[in-house]
Amino acid sequence: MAWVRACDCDDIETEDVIRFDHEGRTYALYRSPEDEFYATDGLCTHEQVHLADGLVMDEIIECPKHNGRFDYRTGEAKGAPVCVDLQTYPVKVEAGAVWIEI
Amino acid sequence: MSEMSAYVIVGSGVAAWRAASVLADHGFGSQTTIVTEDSYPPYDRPPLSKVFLTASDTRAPYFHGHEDRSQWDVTVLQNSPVFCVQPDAKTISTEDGRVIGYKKLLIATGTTPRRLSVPGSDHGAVCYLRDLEDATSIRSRLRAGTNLVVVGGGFIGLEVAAAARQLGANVTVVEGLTRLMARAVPMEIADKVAERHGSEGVVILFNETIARLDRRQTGIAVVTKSGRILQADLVVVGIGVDPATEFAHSAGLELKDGILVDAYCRTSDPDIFAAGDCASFPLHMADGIPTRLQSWRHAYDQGAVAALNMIGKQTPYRCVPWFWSDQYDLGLQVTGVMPGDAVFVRRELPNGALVVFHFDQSGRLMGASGIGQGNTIAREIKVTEKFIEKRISPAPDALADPLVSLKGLLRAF
Repeated sequence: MAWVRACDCDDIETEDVIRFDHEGRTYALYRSPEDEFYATDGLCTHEQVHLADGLVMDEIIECPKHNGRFDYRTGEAKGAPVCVDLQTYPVKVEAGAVWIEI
Repeated sequence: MSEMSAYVIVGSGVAAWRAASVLADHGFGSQTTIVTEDSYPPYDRPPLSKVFLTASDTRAPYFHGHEDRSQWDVTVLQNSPVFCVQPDAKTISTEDGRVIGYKKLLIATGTTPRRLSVPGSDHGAVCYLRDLEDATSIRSRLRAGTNLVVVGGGFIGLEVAAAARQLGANVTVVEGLTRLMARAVPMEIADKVAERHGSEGVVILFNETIARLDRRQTGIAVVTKSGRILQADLVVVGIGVDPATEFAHSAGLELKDGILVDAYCRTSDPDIFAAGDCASFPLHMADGIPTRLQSWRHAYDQGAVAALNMIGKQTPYRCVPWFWSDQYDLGLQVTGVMPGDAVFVRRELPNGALVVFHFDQSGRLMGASGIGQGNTIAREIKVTEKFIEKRISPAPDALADPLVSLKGLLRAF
């Protein structure tokens, strides 16, 4: 486990999500409506679709296929068709950049 | 043989499975029986025209999270086509001699493919695609170099064409109209799809129908109305489907392009419900016009609502239609409806992605279609779905400007 610099804070709009790839794995980085940052695995636990193409509304990321919904702050699956929670990762902001511990 | 199950579901597609799952979630699993003509427990249909045809995994595409069905207490009776429902006695009868009593019945039988009826249509090389057996058969006959003729330029035909091309088959699509997917998407989106198929080496013949199929020493000669002769090893027909309503009809249930239900998925019989491809229901977003939708999400959502109503939790079904099609690395998504006289507003996105909004003649936003690589248009389509749900019709100029945030518009209302 190490802290990895993922992106600039400005790379993510408020209430939005971007994709971050590192060493063969893919992650999703979120900026909440309150400008707090979070990170989860990048693929939906249902059919492995990239969540970064999905819509963020409040604390929810909705998978662009099948509409599986997760609370990106906790990774909690919010109901069918997704039933497996998303893995989350610690995030910190330092000097205008978003770091993820992976 | 006579038996009884409180909740009986006929069918084993996503609507049936979802309904059974909701019943099980509420503790009624052991009182629920799925009765299906299929030889397999419930599985998912969308992969059958896509990854199932190209991947080496031959297993049925069971629903995710449901691969292990040993914990499920719902009874599944396979190979049991239902031929008759007796609403007065509240029983169903299957072709293999079972008579099953019910308290509440859900009909989720889906649709059956329309058959080609020209001379030679009964040739063994002519295939349809509806279930796992069909998909397995098509897959076993698709190789590099296979000459495939696809009849019908709708979603089934085009997805099969894309999969076949990826396997190296030679593909010709025969479409009766001047453009593809005429029912579902604006012409500009259809043209982009046609262009992509063309660049992948698929030949598309427009304004063509099949006149007859002639047996050849190897394979089959597909003869079109205009006299073209297409040499084929395999013909896959995707010319549309009809709702499977045979026993519903003989049971006296009201039909209207499908089994007619109210907002609570109830048929003209108070103990019989219907959901999914076979049901005609009042479309809330379109002032309750009776509508039949053929899409995964509709079947999934309506199946859940039907189950809730079966256990007495009065829940109206309110949906904004949404579906997707995957062809090559293109993702196509459509939300809402597309009126026949729609006014279209286009929104160009980076990398050739395109979203087209559908307005009706009164200026109301009724739907949108999008196409792009992967899921690049998913968000625009999702926000549009929310516009429609909230009956918001943003100004066309705003929708057309890619610099105007759709989510911002949503927040503003």
